[in-house]
Amino acid sequence: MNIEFNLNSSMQRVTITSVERALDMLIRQCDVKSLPGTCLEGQCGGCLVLIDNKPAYSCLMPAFTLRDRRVETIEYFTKTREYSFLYSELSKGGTALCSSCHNGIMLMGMALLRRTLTPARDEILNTLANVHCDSISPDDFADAVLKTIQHLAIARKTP
Amino acid sequence: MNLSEIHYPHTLQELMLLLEHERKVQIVAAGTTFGCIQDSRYLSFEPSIVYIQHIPELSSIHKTERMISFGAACTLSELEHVYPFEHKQAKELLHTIGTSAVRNIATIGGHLMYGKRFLSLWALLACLDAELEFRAFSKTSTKNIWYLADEMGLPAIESGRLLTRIRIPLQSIDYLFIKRIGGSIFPDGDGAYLVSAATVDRRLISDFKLVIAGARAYRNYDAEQRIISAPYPLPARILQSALRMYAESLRKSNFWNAELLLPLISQALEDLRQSNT
Repeated sequence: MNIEFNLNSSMQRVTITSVERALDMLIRQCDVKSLPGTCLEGQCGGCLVLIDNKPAYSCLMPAFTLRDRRVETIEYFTKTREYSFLYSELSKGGTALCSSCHNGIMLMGMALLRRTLTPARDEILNTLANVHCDSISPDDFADAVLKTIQHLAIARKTP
Repeated sequence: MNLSEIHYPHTLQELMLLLEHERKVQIVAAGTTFGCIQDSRYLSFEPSIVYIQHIPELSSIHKTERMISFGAACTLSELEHVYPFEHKQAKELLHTIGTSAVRNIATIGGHLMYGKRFLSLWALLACLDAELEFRAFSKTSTKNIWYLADEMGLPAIESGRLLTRIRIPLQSIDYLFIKRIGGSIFPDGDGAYLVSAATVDRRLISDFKLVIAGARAYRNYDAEQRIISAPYPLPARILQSALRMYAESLRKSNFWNAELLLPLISQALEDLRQSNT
C-alpha cells in the first residue's frame, strides 16, 4: 500500500508492505544515507531518527507506522549552525566519533538543542543514553553541548 | 513472508466496525514489541493489522478529582509527568523501560497487553488498583487489572476485546517500595517486580497492597487485610503475623522462591514500620 509522510521537510509517497521495518524503508525507498546497519533491537542507536520531534529507533518500528508522521534524520541538520558548533566542540575536545554512532549522537544533540537551550546536565546525559557508544564520554558530550549553547547565544547577539 | 492488510481507522467507531468484520486482526499501536521480539529482518503479523495510533480518543489523558485516565495508545513518555509517575520512585521504574527513544514510541496499552508475561509497570498499577476499559463491538466493560491474570497468576488475555483506557483512582501514595528481582523482564527473562504501596490516614494504615509480577502475578489478600487498619508505624507483632501469612502462601504456590522473596517482603514491611510519613 502507499503511505505519505514528511521526511526532512519534504513529502514522501512510498509503497510499503506490512513486513518492512521503518529503517529499511527509509534506506531503500527514501535513499537516507545516514542510517547504517543496526542491531535491530533498539540497543545500538545507529537507526535513531526523530519522529514528530522525538527520538525513536526506526529499526523497532514497522514502516506502516510512519504514515502521516514527520520524520527527520541527521541530513536535515548538517547545514545548521547548531550542527557545526556541536561538531566542532566535540572535535576540539578530542572526541573522534565512530562512524556507526556519529549520526545517532549528533542527532541526539540536535534534538536536545531544539527542545531547550537551558538543559540540565542530567538531561544531556540522559539524551546520550539512547546511543550505545564507547567512543564518547558522556561528560565530554555534555561539555560540548553546553559550549554549543554558549556559541549559539553569542551568534544570536551578533548582527 | 506473509503480507498483511493494513487498516488505519481514525475513530473508535471505525475501529469497532473493523474488529467486528475482520477475523484474525492484530491491533498495533507503536509496534515496538513486534520490532523487538522478532529478530528477523522482516516482521510478521496476522493477516490483518489495525493501526490505532491515529485515534485521538486512545491517546488522550484526562484527570478528574478522583481519578486519572489515559488512553491505551499513550506513549510511556507521555505518562512521565502525570500520576502516578510524578512520584519519584514510580518515575524511576518507568525509566527502567528501554531508553527515551523506546518510551517515545512504546505505548502503555502494548505494555499491559503483552500477554506472555507481566512487564515492568504491571505490579505498580496493580498496587494502585488500576481499572481497564475494554470495548467490544456492542459493549464496553471495565475490569480491574487483575482481570489480566488467571487463578494461577498467569497472563490471561481475552481475544476480541480492545483495551481502550486505563483508569487509576487518585490516592495519596504515602509509602512506595519497589524492588526488581532476577534478570531481564522483557521479552522473556526470569525477572519480576515486587511493589508495595500504602496510604496512611490519621496514624492508621488505610490501604496496603503488595504485588509481585513477572512470569506470574502474586498477591495475598489476607496478609494485606492483616495490615490494613493497623496503626502506623506498623507494630512488630502485626508485621510478623503478615510475614508468616506471606511465607505460607508463597511456599504453597510451588512457583515463587519464598527464600528469595521473604527477605524482600520483610524489608518492605520493615520500611513501613520505620518510615516517617
